Amino acid sequence: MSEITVLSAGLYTTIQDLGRLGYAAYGVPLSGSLDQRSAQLANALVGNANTAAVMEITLLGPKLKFAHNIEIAIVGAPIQPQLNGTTIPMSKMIKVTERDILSFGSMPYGCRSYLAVSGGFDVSVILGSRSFYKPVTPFNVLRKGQTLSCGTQTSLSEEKVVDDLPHSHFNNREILVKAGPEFEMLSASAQVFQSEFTVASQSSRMAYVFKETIQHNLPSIATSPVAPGTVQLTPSGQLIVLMRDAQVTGGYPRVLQLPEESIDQMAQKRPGDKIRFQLQ
Amino acid sequence: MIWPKKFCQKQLKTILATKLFFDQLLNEVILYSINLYNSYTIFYDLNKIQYDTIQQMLESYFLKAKTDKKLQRNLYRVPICLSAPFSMDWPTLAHQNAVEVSSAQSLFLANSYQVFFIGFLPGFLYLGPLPKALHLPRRATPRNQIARGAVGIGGDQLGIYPQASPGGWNIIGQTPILLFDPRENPPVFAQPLDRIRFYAIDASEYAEISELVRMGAYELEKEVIHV
Repeated sequence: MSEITVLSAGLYTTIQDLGRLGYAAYGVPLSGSLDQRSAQLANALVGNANTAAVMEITLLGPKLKFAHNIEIAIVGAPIQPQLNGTTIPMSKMIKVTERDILSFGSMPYGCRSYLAVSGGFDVSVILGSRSFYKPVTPFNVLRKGQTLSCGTQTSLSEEKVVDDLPHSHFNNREILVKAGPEFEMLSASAQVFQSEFTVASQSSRMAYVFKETIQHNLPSIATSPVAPGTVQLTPSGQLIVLMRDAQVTGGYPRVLQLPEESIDQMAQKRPGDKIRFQLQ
Repeated sequence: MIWPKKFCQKQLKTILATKLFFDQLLNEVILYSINLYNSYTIFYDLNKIQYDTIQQMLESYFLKAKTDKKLQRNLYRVPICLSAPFSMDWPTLAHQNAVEVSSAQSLFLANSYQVFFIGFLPGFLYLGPLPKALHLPRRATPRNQIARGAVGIGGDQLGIYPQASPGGWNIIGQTPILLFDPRENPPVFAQPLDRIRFYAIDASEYAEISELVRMGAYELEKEVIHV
């Protein structure tokens, strides 16, 4: 058992895994790493199974102190990781030793980065998952002073490296989408595909919203299931891209659906980024 | 799969039987599934099965789902405080539906309501059907903060807010009971086809029950029903 102390928490730092499958019937969101691709790469680098919990870092990183020797890897949006003040590479397995301090610099583009530790972060499993989501878990985010445990350390024989994610994973403006269940109701589809949308600052792990609206006359629908990646159109013309902490039902027309790869790319958009939807 | 939009116990039984049948049949490929008022939705793993295959299976096995069996469920008695500040919108409801507040409240308490599904927030119970005299359109502007346990009317729907949350439903009362408890599995006491009957409590009873709930010493009254 290895321990990590949170010296400062960062902007919005959480523990996430694959998510909380099987509780949608109780109204419980799926949760889990927003950019699953980055999270999985980070886990692979330290020899973890893809079910291991990772730390999701949003825009501004935390500062962490390690109590034991352990392997770590950071994958996702570039965030200038430093060990005891010395820059270390991303997308590479790094051995840290007792009393090492991990800190982060600025994130020039993208929105989320993932820290994996060998053995995974061992926070409580609640309803089948370690993913933070209040009120299922007691807290939404990491807190300063908190101590995190990791699973048993596995010793790796060789250093692993993965290719950096392609730049397009972070900077691609074209988000590929599929038609949603109510796509046919949408007479204003041209507007949806020809307009550029600017990510608004209220965007979160629950949903991405945009500054621009579109004109339409779609009615509300009977309460229907929604899932991460579902794009709803509100009466006021706002498109809402539901993310992994989204509610499980909704009453707005579901005009588009993002496939998994597109959800990962959307998760790397920050307020002010511009995107277009492209029908797959 | 979609059924006609209506609050109907028989139809809900059909939907739940369909869900039970296909959840088992497709166990290997289903990630999860949910039922709502009038639908059963399967979320499946595209790496394991294609849409066409699922659709064929739904078509060919649909009639095999058994719907005539009686199911055992519970009727829960849920305490509710109907007076201000636990409620806000009785005057609006009474005005819009041209009824007295007291008779609208009596009507509300006289009925029991079926649990259709849980959604929106963890533990949010969607209940119905609601007598027509109690229907009230959602508020044009949602409130920023609805209290935990608030009982609301949204059009022809009745629901209970399990956590403090923004919300657009009209608030007619509040219950001190816990609607969602992640320490329990399942985390919600009720399931579809259970019934809820509300009984009125005053502010001091509300405080007493809240305290019992806080200590984990409160138990909901219930009786077994067959539906």
